[in-house]
Amino acid sequence: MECPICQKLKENKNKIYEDELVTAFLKDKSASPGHIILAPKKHAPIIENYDDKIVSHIFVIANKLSSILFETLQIHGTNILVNNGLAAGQDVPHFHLNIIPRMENDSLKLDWTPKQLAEDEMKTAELKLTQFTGNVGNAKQQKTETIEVKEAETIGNGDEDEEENYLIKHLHRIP
Amino acid sequence: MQEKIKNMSPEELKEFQKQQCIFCHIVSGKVPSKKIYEDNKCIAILDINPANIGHILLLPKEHYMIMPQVPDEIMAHLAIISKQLSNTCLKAFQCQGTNIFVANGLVAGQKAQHFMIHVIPRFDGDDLNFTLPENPLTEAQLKQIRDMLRQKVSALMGFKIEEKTPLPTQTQETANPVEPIINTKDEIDKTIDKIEKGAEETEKILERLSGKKEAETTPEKKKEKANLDDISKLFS
Ligand SMILES: [Zn+2]
Ligand SMILES: [Zn+2]
Repeated sequence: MECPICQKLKENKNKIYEDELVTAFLKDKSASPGHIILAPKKHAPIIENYDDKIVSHIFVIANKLSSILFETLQIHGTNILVNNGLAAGQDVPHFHLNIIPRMENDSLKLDWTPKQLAEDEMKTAELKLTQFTGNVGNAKQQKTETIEVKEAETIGNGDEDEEENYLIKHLHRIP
Repeated sequence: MQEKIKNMSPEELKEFQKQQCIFCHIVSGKVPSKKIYEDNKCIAILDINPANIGHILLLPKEHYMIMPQVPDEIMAHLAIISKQLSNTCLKAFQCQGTNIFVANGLVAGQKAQHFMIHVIPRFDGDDLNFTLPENPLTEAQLKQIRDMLRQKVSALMGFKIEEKTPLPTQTQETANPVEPIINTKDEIDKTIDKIEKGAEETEKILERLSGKKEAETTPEKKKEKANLDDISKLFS
């Protein structure tokens, strides 16, 4: 079965915007009226599969489309949401941004109850993360423009590649 | 205080906002935080009220209240760093997913007056839920929204979908009534220019975000002050 997003990208019916890299269309089954799906034309499951050029472009376009929603629909807010991986609520195996118009007293719940973490839990989280952030922000000029599905963002050392591939594969498990 | 705010110049107001903004103090180091990443444009810290363990807030160092104010160059950079932080979460916590989330405006759940991107680690069976409802729109609703958005997108971003009247004999499947004109890189750049000129639009958006009614007509001079005044009240 073809990916539903790839399918939608071919149709023009609800298309709002398109350029060389990305396409945006209006969702007919929407979180709120005016809900836009913005997706790269190239098919891949998660954000980690895409090079920096596409990732930066798609967020810049999302910002513009969000502003256009404000100007057009008399709304009071927008959410930008990426559900990255099945556990995060991803329903289609094609990376995309949801741009969601918000109104006062709409019925949407995109909130959470803050977790009360102890200082040592916070400290542990900090340490775990900073172990892997050494190369964040560095490698961005070296990216090639072709995207392979298995190619993951290279942060950290080479010996983590196996683990990373495992994680990426794990995330790909979307029905 | 109200009186003082009203008499400020726009520059003074921006400075005032920064002084009131806890995240600007975090950026400058006056307020301590658990810093995960930093470069000359942005800083990533742990949220002290996390949705899940490892919940990261990615902030531009410059003070922008909402996303429409964020310049493309900064937005592009934040996007790349978000991707890398998402990947960092996958590795650090062996989690099964991430949410990348932005709230623009109080009704969207924006709690701080400093624009930020949330990167939230997700675990199978955790208690968070970002599943979006799927309420069907009628064909008439869709058409109305589509037409309005297309008009604005065409004016601001140069992308145009031209509706051709389908021949009566054609079926819905074969008609293909719409021909997209695909943007080139140049056109994208032009678009960006156009939108950057839309600064007044941003001001209008700010007003709406702060809960100020569209219908209220304030004299031009007072507008910005009143608006920022409102916002500072709402966020305090
Ligand atoms: Zn696809
Ligand atoms: Zn600030």
